Amino acid sequence: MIVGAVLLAQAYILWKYRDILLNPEGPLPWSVSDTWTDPLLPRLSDVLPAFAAAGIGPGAAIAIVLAIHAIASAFFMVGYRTRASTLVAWATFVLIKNTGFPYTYGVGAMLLIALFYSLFMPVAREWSVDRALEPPRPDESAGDASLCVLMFRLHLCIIYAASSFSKSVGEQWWSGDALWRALSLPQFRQFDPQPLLAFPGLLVAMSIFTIVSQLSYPVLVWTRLRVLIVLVAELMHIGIAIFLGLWLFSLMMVALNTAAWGQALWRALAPAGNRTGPTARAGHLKVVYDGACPFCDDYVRYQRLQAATERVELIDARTRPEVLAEHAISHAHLEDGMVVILDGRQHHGADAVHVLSMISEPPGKGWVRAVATLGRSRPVARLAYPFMKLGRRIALTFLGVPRFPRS
Amino acid sequence: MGPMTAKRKALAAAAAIHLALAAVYAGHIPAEVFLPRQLDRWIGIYGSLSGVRHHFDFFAPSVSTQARVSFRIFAADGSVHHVYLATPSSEANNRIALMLTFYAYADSRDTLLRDWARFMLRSDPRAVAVESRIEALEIPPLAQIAKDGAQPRWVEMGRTTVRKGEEPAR
Repeated sequence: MIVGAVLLAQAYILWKYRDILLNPEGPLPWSVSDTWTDPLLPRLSDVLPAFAAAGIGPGAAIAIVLAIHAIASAFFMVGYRTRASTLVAWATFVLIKNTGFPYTYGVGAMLLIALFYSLFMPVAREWSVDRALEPPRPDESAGDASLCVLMFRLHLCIIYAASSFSKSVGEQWWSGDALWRALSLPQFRQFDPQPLLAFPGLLVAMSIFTIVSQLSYPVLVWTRLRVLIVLVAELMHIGIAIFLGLWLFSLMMVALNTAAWGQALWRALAPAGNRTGPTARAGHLKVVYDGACPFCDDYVRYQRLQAATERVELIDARTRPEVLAEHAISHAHLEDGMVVILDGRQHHGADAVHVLSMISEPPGKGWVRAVATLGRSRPVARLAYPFMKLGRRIALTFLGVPRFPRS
Repeated sequence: MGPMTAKRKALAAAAAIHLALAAVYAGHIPAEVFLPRQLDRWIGIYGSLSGVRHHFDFFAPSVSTQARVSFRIFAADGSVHHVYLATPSSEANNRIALMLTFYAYADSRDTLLRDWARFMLRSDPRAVAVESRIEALEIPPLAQIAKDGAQPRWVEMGRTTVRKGEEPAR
C-alpha cells in the first residue's frame, strides 16, 4: 500500500514536471542520455515509434505511459487486480526509470526492488480490494511466503551492509563532515545547520551512530535485538525525512522494513491477546521426542509454544513408549529427530522443525533461536535439515547416547 | 509433507542467484573481470530490471557537493534576464540536482552546458541567445570552519553561450 502511494507521488512529480524530467528535448536530451545505457534496456524512446505510427506525438505518448503507470500504481496501492496491476506498474516504471535515469535517485532503486518482489511475492492477501471482493476459499493455499520473505529480508541486509560499509570507508563519516555537508546542501536543507557548529562532537557521534546502526542491522535482525535494530532503522529513516526532506525515500525504506519484519515486530510488540495472523494460535500440539538426546530436549524445552497454542504436550518417547503405537510413529522418525503433531496432523524431520518455528515465539536459547530462524522458511529448513541431522548423529555418538530403541 | 519438489528447488536456486547478484553489485565486486562479456551484459540487464544492480552507496563514501545551473537569457530587444533550472518542488529539484552531477564526467561537460542552453532557447520564445553557467557549492571541512570560520560558497565550474541559429536539428 505504501509502495503504491510512493509510486503515485512520484508519478505526480513526473507528470507535473515532465517538460524537464521526461522530455526527449529536455535539459538532458534522450539522444544523449540513451547512449549512456544498454540499448537492450527498454526505454520510452523504444515505444515512441509505435505511438507515432498511430499518429500520437511524443508529448502525448509520454503522457499516456505516465497515465497508465499512475492507474496501475493506484490499483497496486489498493490491491485491485493486484498481480496484473503490479506487472503493468513494474513494466511502465522500468520504461520511465531507464529513460529518466539521470534524474533517478535512491527512491527509484527501492521502488524497482519492491515492484520486482511484488511480482512474485504473495502481496495483497490482506487489506486489499481483491481480498474484499473474493474472500479466501477454504481450500486456498496461502502459498509459501516464507521463502519470499526470507529473500526479501536478506536483500535488505545486503542493502544495509553495503550502505554502511561504503560509509565506513569514507573519512567524512568519521569526522562528522558527511552529516554537516548533507545538512548544509541547499537541496536537502530543511533548517539552518549553523548552530550545530557549536557541537562538533554531536555531528561526529551522529555520523558514527549511523554507520554502526547500519553495520549491525544485518546481524542484529537475526537475534533477539531484532525489534530494537529495526526500530532504530525506522527512526533513522524518519530522521532523514525530517532533516533532509527525503520523504519519498524514507517512506520507501520504512515500508520495506515493515514488509520484511512487520509481522515479527507485531508479534513482539503487540499485547499477547492482540496477536493475530496465520501462525497466531494453533490448537492441540504434541511434540514427541527422544528425551535422551540433549539437543532434542533443549530444542523442545526452549521453544516458546504456550502463547501460540491452546494446549501443549511435550512427550519423551523413552519414558512413554506407548505414544508410538498410539500415534503410529515409527522408530526411524525419532532416530531422525522429533515428531510434531498439530491438531492431529503429523510432521516429521524438516517439516517438524518448520512447524515448530512457525508457531513458536522467538526461543530464548541462542542455538535454538538460530535453528528456529532458519526453520521459518520451509525450503531453508529442508536444505539445512540433513546437515543438522548428521551433526546431531555425530554429536550423539561422541556423547555416547544410545540410539532410540527399536523395540 | 513430501520432500522438496523440483519446482521448489528451482525457486530456491533462483532466489540464491538473485541475492548473490545483489551482493556482488552491492559489494562493488568487479564481476565483469571474471565473466564473459555477453554474460556480464545480460546479468547487468537482469540487474537493471530487477533492482539488484545497485551499489546502495547513498551519501557514501563521502557526501558530494551540489551543483546548480543558471542561465542568462538574451532577448531580441536587448533585454537580459537571469533564471535557474529549478522548480517549486523540492522532490523535482532533487532529481534535477542529480542530473547535474553528470557534469563530473569531463567528456560530457561541453555537451551538457550546450544542451542546457538549448533547452532554455526552446523554452523561451523571446530568447535569441542563452548563456548557461554551472556552479558547485564548495563546503569547507568542519576543521577549517573551526579554524578560520570559512563559509560555503558557490564556485563556477563552466559556462557557454548558444545562439538561436546554432541549435542543431535533432
